[in-house]
Amino acid sequence: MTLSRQALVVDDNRLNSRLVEIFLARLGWQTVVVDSGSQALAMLRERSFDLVILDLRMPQMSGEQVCRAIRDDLGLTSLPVVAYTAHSMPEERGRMLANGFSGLLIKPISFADVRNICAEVISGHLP
Amino acid sequence: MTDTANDPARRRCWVLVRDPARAAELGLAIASATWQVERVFSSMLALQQDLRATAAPPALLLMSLTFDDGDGLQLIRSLALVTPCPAIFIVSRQQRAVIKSALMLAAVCGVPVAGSAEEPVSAAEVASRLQGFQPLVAWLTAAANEPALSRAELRLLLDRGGLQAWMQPQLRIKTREIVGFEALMRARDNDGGLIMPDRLLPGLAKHGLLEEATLRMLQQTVAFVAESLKLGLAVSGSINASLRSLSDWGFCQTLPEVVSRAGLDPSWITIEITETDAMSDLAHVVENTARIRMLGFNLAIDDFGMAYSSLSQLSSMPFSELKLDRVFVHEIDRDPRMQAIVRGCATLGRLLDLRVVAEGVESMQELDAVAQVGCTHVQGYLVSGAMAPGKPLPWLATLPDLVWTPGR
Repeated sequence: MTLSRQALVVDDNRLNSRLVEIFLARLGWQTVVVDSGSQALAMLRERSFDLVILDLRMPQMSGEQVCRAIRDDLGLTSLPVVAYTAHSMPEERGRMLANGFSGLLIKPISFADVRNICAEVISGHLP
Repeated sequence: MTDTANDPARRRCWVLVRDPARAAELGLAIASATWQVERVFSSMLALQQDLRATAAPPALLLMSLTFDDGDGLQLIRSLALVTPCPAIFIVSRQQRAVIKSALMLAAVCGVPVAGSAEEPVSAAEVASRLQGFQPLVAWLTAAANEPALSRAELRLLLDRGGLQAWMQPQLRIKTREIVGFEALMRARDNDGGLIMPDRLLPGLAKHGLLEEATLRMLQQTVAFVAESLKLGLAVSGSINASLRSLSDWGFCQTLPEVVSRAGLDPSWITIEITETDAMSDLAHVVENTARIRMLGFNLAIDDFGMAYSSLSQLSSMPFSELKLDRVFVHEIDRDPRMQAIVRGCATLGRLLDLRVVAEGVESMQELDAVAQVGCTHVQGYLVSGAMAPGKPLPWLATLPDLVWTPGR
């Protein structure tokens, strides 16, 4: 029996997180949704995930702060953390990757975008 | 932005070709292609005289470019003054670059274009190209027999929720997914007849009701997108807005309220402004377009290529999407010059990390050609025309993972 892969989706917008959850379920993943950075960090302390999808624009902790905490405070250096963002300029892309993100999911997303990210996680191609 | 009407009264055609025998032959052929050929001319002046005299110009003018008493370029300029302006289909022996210039002149003058064919071409081929043509109704040309709506009529429409957002899908070329819809304004009259934007927009603008109408379009678009997302259908929505509306502070404050009431992230919504609009006072444009992006919306420049924007002006504006006018897309597969122009625009768009949407894509050949030169998305009758409220969701439900396949 193979266990489903586990994803943590962090977004304060319910429509966005629900959509990603539907897509992940279609791909055979199980998803936990939280709506703040602090909840995400608490969840990651408790249990392990195969992928984190992290909204950059959240009211308290920004996505970039959460990502830094995942890497530095929790020491989860090889966990794939994908930035869920509306910013797509190449220089911003570079900054995200330099700040510890493994990849980007650009809003508005499509099913193929999420499928590609998941395929990269499974094949180990995300940095 | 253009739209269609299927009304048989709109399938009236006049023909102007120098050689009377050829004119008659073409007239006969297109009459068999559901066009009602009313008059056939070989003299440009005679046609112009009749156009001036009639209260009901034809929907289509099949024309060549050289006549004994003038040329097609003069005629196109004079057609721009006719209301409603007929669409033209050019049949000519001139070299392709000249025909294209004439089509460009028509576009610049606001004369709708139904297409073109280079002689020698069979009359049957011309007829077949016109078979599928739906008369275009430009935004601002009011049909003579259907006067623009009065303030009171428009007010009533707004009050009884009579403005409708019809949705035309956008396809992402790379994945063949339907990823969004552009909302196009429609209304229903008392008899249930469809009222097109040409009868709505000038009056809405004139009577200061455009902002209210734009918000109605936004509300319907936001509701549609939010409902789609709940069902796991990832589609965004675009609405058209005038720059004048965007410089209205109250209007801009209402935009984010509408999306947040629906619980929608504004990055699912794109505001489209026309290039002509974007070429007015630069400071004014930059301020208002930057504000749209600050609020989290995407910003598209519509009808790109139809005005004379400089690259420096374009680079000052925070666009996320370029929409290439259908003039550049029509029969692009057969036209290396158009391919070069669109490739240039698409390269610019790619370097600026923009979506590049080809509008008015009507054939697989055009889709392949715009993909080849670097466009990222297409919109047009090949995928679908604008759909009435309630139609898009069932349509989307027929597409596995929203992937569109030709011939559906």
